Amino acid sequence: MNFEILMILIITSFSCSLIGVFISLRKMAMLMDAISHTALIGVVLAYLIIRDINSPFLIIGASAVCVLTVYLIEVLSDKKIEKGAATGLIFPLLFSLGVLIIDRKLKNSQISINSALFGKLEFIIFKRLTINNIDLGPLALYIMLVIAVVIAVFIIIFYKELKVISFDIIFAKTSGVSVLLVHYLFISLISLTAVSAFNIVGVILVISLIIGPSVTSLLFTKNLKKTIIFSIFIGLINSLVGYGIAFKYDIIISGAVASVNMVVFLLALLFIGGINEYNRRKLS
Amino acid sequence: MGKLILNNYILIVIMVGTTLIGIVSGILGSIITLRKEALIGNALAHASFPGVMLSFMIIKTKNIELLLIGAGCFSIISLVIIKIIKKYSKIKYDSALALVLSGFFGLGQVLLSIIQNTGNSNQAGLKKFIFGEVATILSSDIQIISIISITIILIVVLFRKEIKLFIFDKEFYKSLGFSCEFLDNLIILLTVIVIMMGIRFVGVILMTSILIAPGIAARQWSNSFYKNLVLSGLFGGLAGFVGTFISFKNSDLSIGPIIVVVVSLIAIISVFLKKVK
Repeated sequence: MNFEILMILIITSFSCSLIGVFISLRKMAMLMDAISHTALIGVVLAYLIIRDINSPFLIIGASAVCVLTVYLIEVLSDKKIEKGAATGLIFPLLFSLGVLIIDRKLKNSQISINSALFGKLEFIIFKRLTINNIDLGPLALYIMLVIAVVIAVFIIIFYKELKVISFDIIFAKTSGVSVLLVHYLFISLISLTAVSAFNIVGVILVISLIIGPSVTSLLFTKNLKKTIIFSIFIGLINSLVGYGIAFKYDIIISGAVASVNMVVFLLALLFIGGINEYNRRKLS
Repeated sequence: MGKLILNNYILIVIMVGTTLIGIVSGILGSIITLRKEALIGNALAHASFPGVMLSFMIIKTKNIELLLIGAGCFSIISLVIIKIIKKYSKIKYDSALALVLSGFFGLGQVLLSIIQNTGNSNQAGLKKFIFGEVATILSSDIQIISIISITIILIVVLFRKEIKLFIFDKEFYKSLGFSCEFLDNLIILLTVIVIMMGIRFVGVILMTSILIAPGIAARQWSNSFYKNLVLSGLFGGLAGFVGTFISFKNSDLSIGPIIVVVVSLIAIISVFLKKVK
């Protein structure tokens, strides 16, 4: 068992399941899917300029590309293309361009399609943060800690605004909340999360960590605060279980956690269905 | 270009394959895009990945037909799960799609890593299902693809009126006594078959693009349903043809992403040249 990998996974899971609640509520799940895929071209383009995969500027540059993607999808939606179709048009294009650039220019570099898709949790701890030759632990741990703090602070500051635009966007517009500003701040934040998590856990696990715990907790409660707490808790448990399974059977961590996220949701659905059925029978 | 194509048997074989797949995925994609279910193809294609891995684990050789049947089965399982989630919970539809596609793809990763641990030497090339590869395509494969593609086109032609009514005026369609469930299942089944054929060429991740993009492009040029289907098929076929040619000229570039770039550019150009209101 490697404690450092587990810590990185748990902190990533914390950030993802926290913003995941708002993404699920705002019907942005597939948009999130698009953002996490375009993180690839963001990272590739930023890497071509900066040439250091761990630079904070790379994360910021790549996030900017993701925000631009969302803007592109919204431009297409304005041209009377259904949102789902617009999403499905833009992100495979950008993802393909990312793959082609790697094929052509970045073979044998620090970026590989493999780690983009599957993550590299197993190897991430070899990159250490050292100050004056003192080993302070894996660099990824610190990056994800910073992101987690940024997300938590953002959500605490903008909690009211986020709540209003999640549940009643028309009311939000009439009551003077700057919907567009909060919307784009939120998009920037999820782009930042997607890009930083993308480098570590890979495209697929990012989506899974964001959607899985939050929809599972939405099955149990309608109260927003409770949903957030449940979501973080479920994300924690899923990561622990997923990592445990991956470690025991020597399989890939990101795939194991993503599978656990789906299975736990389905079990919860079955459980809730069973309870409802029981109550119905008792009444009749 | 003409000379290069004529002198190259392999290129012709592959081009016929990609063009046909472009055509049928364009036609089917146009239907699902008009039904506003564009992203279902994304979930179904991702979900086919563990199917390929599981059938490889069972049969232990790379018998392509059996691998693809496994892929199709998993697409259908994922569809059933999406429908169950839709029916029994208030979870938003796109959350259900995202959950299922990431969960199934994760499962595929797990199975792949188990296969890699066993060290079976046949496993090399299984990863090619992620972005597609055409080096292993044989002319016998193309015969099968041709037969299936023509069958799919014939089925769509046969049911064109029903599909049109089903998409645009469901109530009227029901009142005529037709079954919605039948057409719904037929369209999904055909989509799954197209995905099964397509993932070898463009891969599970990018399959969604060649389903959606031709439909979007066609929609910009015509309001007529039948013209949409024809145009969408043409755009898809064109993208398959051109994409294959470009990838053949630049052997360092994977074929799947190239076809996707071509088809997306056709769609984006169409959006900006938009003819219909």
